[in-house]
Amino acid sequence: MTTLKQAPPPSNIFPPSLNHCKILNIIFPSSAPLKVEYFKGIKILESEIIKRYERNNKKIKLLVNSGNASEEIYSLTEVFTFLSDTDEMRLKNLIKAFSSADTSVVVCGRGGYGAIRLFRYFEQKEVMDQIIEGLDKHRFMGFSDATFLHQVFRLEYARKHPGKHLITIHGPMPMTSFFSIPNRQRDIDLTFNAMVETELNLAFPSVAGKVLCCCSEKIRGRLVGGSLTCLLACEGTKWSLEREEDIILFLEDINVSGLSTLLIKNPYNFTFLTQHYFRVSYSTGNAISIR
Amino acid sequence: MPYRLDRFISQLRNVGILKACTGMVLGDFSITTDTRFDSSKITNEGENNNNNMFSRNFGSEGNFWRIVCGLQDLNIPILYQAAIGHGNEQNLPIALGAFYMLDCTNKEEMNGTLKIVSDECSMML
Repeated sequence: MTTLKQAPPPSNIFPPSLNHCKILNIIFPSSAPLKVEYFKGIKILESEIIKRYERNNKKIKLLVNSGNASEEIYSLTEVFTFLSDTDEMRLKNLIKAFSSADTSVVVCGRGGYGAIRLFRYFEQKEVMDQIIEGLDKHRFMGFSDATFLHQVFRLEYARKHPGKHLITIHGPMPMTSFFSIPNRQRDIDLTFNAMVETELNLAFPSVAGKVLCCCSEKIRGRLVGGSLTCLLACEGTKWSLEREEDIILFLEDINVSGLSTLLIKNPYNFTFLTQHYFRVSYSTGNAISIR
Repeated sequence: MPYRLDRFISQLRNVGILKACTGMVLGDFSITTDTRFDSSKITNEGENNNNNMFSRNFGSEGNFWRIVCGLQDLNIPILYQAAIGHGNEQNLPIALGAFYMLDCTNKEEMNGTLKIVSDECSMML
């Protein structure tokens, strides 16, 4: 008599698609878009949704911070110049997005700076629990500063569900990537593919590149990574990069410039660095000298 | 700017990340506030484009990663100039946490691909 072996449970967890959940929720866990960029991004999303869904009599609800997309937001940007809102409000919106009973696709409207400031809240179990609970019900997308959230979400999910790999999407963001240069339509199309497809090979295109080294090989591994600056800022925290054997490391970055040249233009570079030192606790009990 | 990239790569090496990974994909690093570098002049002509900051200083972007950053010593498959991230051309979506196949076997043309593996997936409904 033969015994049928039970297939092992799938290890990849890919949250529901936009076709299934019918809610697209744009959040701003980092910086705010300019008003003109905000409405431009909303307009593109609305027209793409109409183009793709309304002819099939399907309705997709477009939300911003889980609320009405047409309302003007971010009244605090004049005070918090490089943040979309206070840390507490950005955290509240993040929790609201992932703890919603209605499944959704959650997309960062733009990057910039600010997600690392939420790490001190993520260290609180009651905060993290609310977010982890919704990670497999809400498909998450973003890049650049969202690298911090990708790291936290993937690692916290794996801690709670050992052996399971949460898939999050590193991809374009509507308030910047959709119109920053002409002819972004292919990016928009691929973004929607990643949001609506349920099969991985349909949701994600093959990526071409140049081979760097002569050690020509074909390897299989789990892809992790993102913005180089953000990944390095995660080192020393609970959410530093995995050191597993089957990792394919992906890196990209913008403005990889030093503090001295960018302080004037982007003051958040300074808080970025100080936030890092606070998170890794090197500053505890030490005096900090700022020259 | 390139030395700052090298500093970051050195830190990745020093904290043990480079030693741990089995492959690498380098996306777009082209946009910079470096006033000497005009990103609007980037073309699709590949790494030998003289307007590229890497070509200007190191002959090619490949030389920078291989020799300056020392990535060739890792002896792992590495893909670079992948159209992902902040860039002037494309920002292809990728699935973080998913299994991919990194193919660097095309020795003749030195072109490679990163392709998602269609493992069985759970979708939480």
